Amino acid sequence: MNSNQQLLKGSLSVIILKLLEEQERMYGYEITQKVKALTAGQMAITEGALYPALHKLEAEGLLTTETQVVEGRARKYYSLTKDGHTEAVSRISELGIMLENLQRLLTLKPAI
Amino acid sequence: MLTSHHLTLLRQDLRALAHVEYEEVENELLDHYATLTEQKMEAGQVFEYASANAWAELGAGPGLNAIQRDYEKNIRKQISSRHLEILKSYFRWPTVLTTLLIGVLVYIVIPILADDVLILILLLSAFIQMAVIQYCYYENKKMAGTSKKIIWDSLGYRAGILLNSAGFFLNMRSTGVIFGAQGPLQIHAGIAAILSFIAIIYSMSFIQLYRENFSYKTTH
Repeated sequence: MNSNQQLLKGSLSVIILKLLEEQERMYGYEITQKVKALTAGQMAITEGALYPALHKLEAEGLLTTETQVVEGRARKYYSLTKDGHTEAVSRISELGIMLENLQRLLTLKPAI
Repeated sequence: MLTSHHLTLLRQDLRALAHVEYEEVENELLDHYATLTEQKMEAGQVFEYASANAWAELGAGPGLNAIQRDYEKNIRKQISSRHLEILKSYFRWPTVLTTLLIGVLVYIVIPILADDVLILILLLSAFIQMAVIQYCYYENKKMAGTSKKIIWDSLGYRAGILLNSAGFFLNMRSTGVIFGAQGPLQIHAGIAAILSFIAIIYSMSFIQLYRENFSYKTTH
């Protein structure tokens, strides 16, 4: 696992919540493609990480699902619940603060 | 677009090579597998190559089976935490009053009863768990192929814990090693009261779980 993927794994749930906040509903494959497109292929979510994360968020009551038949097969769409919207805002803000702090630490200049 | 024959072939891969057995997981992974295959076919690959490449990209059998195992774990965790919540709720207001009254009643009644009657009561409590296990077994068979099977598996296992504990305790009596010929229940009425109380509370928790229809928040 490269360092990008390690970083991605830790923030996967926030990424999913953010994407679903932007787009009303998405299915698994669509999420992987969206991440790939938004990061110009620099980051890729594996299916082995995506589905457990989606199921966990659903179990926490943050996501809800609906199934539709598309091109002869069942497609499961995920969308945010009311709690999911609230949690998305909170988690995105927390991650933002952490990234700011990380940025400060990484750009720390040696003391003169 | 894939034909229904293509979809059947992909579904067979999931069942035979990744051992995906739950309908909900299968449908979700099939859609992913099919979409990935279609994308490769659009890029000019024939179905056989496209599906083989998509399969490898998905992590092949072990990778996909790991998703199913995680799914099972997730549902078991929900059942387990709900069961624990129910058990804890007996010790919280307003249920705590009923729990205390049951506890006091058990404590008063136990010393009055003969050893054999106590054993019968414990056996009856254990019988409830046996009934739960049996019921779980039949439901499990009925629900094969759906995620509800995981619930019945999990509940059967939980019911088995108390049944085995009761069996262990009663067998200790028959060996006479620890408690002698008189039997443990008459000598230690307090222990017998606690055991009976736990058995009753544990059995009640199953009734409550059943009334809730074992709701869980994955797959619909």
